[in-house]
Amino acid sequence: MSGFQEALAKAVDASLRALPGKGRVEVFARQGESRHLVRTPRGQVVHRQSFELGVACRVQREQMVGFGAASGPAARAGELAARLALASVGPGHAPLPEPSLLGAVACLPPKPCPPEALEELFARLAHEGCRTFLAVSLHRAHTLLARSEGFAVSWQNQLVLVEWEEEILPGVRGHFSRVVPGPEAVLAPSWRKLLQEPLACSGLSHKRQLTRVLLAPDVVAPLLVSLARSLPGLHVPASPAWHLVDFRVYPSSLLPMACDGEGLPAQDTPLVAQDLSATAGNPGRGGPLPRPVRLSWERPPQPAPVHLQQKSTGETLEQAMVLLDQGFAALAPVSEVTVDSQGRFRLMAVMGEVRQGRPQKWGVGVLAGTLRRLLAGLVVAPGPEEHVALGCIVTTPWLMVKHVEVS
Amino acid sequence: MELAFLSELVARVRPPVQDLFLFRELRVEFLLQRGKVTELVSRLRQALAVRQEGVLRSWDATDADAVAALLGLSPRKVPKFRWEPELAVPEPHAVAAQLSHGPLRVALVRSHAVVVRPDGVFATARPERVEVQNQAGETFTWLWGEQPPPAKPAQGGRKPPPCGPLAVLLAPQPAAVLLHELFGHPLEADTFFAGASPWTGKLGTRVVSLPLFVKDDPTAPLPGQCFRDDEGELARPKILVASGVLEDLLADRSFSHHLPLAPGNARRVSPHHPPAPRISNLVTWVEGGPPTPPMEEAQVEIVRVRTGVFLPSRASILLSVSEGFLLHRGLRGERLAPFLLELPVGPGDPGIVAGGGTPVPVAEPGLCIKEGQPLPVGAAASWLLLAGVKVP
Repeated sequence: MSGFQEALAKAVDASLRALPGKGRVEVFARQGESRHLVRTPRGQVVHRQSFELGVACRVQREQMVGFGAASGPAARAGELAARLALASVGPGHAPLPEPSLLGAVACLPPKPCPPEALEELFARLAHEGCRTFLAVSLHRAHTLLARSEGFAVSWQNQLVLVEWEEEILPGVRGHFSRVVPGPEAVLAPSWRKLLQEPLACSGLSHKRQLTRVLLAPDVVAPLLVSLARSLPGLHVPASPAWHLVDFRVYPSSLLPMACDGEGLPAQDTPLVAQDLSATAGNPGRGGPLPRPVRLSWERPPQPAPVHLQQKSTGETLEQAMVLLDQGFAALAPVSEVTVDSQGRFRLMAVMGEVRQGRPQKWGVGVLAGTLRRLLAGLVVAPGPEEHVALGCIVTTPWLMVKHVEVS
Repeated sequence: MELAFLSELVARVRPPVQDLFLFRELRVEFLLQRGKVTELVSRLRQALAVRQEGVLRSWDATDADAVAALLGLSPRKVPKFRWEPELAVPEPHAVAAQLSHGPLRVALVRSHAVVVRPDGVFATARPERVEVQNQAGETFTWLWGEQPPPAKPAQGGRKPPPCGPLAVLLAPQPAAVLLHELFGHPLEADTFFAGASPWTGKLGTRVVSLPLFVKDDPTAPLPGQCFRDDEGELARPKILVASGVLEDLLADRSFSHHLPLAPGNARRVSPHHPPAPRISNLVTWVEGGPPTPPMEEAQVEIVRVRTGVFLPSRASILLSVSEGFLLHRGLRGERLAPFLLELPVGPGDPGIVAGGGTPVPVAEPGLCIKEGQPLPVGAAASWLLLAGVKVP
């Protein structure tokens, strides 16, 4: 048994011991280790290393459920989580799944990434020189989920996260993030290709118009997350170019898991596709909702995407620019993306005005639209897929969408 | 608190330790629906961090073994210790009784922290606070025991806003958000010296023609209250803007070592994050400003905003307006649809032409996120009148 497994087993054991005969009990324990290398805007390099161990406990007594969570030394955290769960028993929480539904799928451990590989990646990216802020981090986690009825399953994850700020146009900075399984997979963002055209940042005309827009992965990612969360309320036929899936199973997912946040076998969830009944053919029921997961050890399970992936339709970025002909290309958001309760989104982005398939001038403009229009108006999904980190992982190509408001 | 031995221990470690930070936080969260408490959740986080030059190491434990591991000492060299009594789980029904029937997501937060440095041990007492999120996702924060805000969702209308440039009247809540973005973050020393502030190089100069005052006051009974900061320094009120002139910056110990700036403004969300200069409670007013705003001088009245952001690329502040009205001869007209409002922050005056003299506490949003670290912040502001506002 490894040190990680031993600590998690101690935590689970302490929780179960603290709740003998108190009803149905579930313990979720996660131990994580993170290494960060950060170059601050002042040029200082900071090394950060953190060890986290958290235990969450759910206890069910008849129809009432309590949830408690605690961090700390393994056995102490397990005991505290159990005590807090017992003190929180009340109405409103979903009941624990029946034992007959519990299960797991295979989830192979990742190949360990040595700390030197992280330092090499940091040195490589720092050498590129275009980044005003750079943070590279390696995250490893071991998870153990157990039930008092005798069910137990564990799995491991590893991710490399890169965050940086970069001056996209003179005086215009953007914040970017990428998540990859290992340091070798970090690539330059594809929007840089379009900026290589020798154009001045002359500013855009601010005439309000509905037009075709080619959205880069950094612009698409927050919209896909909002879309995944809003699907049950969207009753509109989806464009055939959509193929959006929430991946959770090894090896398709970058963050695979053996079971979901409640102990049911992990499964991938197709969210939007041409032949999917959820949005197009079954409008009365709304779209599918991903199964509950643990966004953090300290939160109860809740439905949320884990690794959203929109498939490319095969065109290259160059072919997509020709197909766009007239319109705009949005490279990167420079403001928060706001999405209201009606699904209307709005953001400021670095954009290029495109004529005859070539960018004419660059500037900052406002993009607005609705998630319904995004669902119905997707034309193609060209170019390389990039892995953006946004609380969950979003793997997406560029999206060309009709009827987007630009001002 | 018998932690003096830790200070002696820290003083002997090489490379030198800047500080050891012990932290414990208990959150009780629930959904308040039709006056009933449901989905009750209790969470306890405890952790420890050690800072040395260019290095931060943290561990989810606050016991002697964790201290030994992070300081690189044998566990036998660190005696077992207790640093604070355990946090008692608060009673959710006492909070629920003070609020509307919901639905509201409610959190009651208790925390304490201790900073151990070679020169002493400093407790950083924090008040108990309440955080509430309504159906629309709007957040409100206040100190437990203070008057709770209504926490009602903002009501947007259907009328699109007129195109700018406009004269806009801001109620205290949007005024607080605007001044937080306009003077709060840009006067945090790390932002200021990174060149990401419109005020870089302008300390000591007049940037507003009005007698505007902006004070960061960690001692005020608002959600950012603390009497020692997260580096153990005394937290004192600081006037950042005095009568329209940029006076001071929010600084931590790293900046105060090299520059004539007083420390005391370092904050961190947890031991796993490094401390940085941050706003605590921003109190703003215009000296001699009348208590009632000149409604007839504005075309639009903004009552609530959801977020604000400074965009260096456009040299402007962007506010996401959630509730506002058209004004006709000083009277409220149509309710406006939610929109973005842009205030240019040029080399001269940022367009503030009048303001009130009596700040009132503002509970929305009560949380501020910088570099991924959300922290409770307080605000007290009066009304403001702006000119030259654009609707992008």
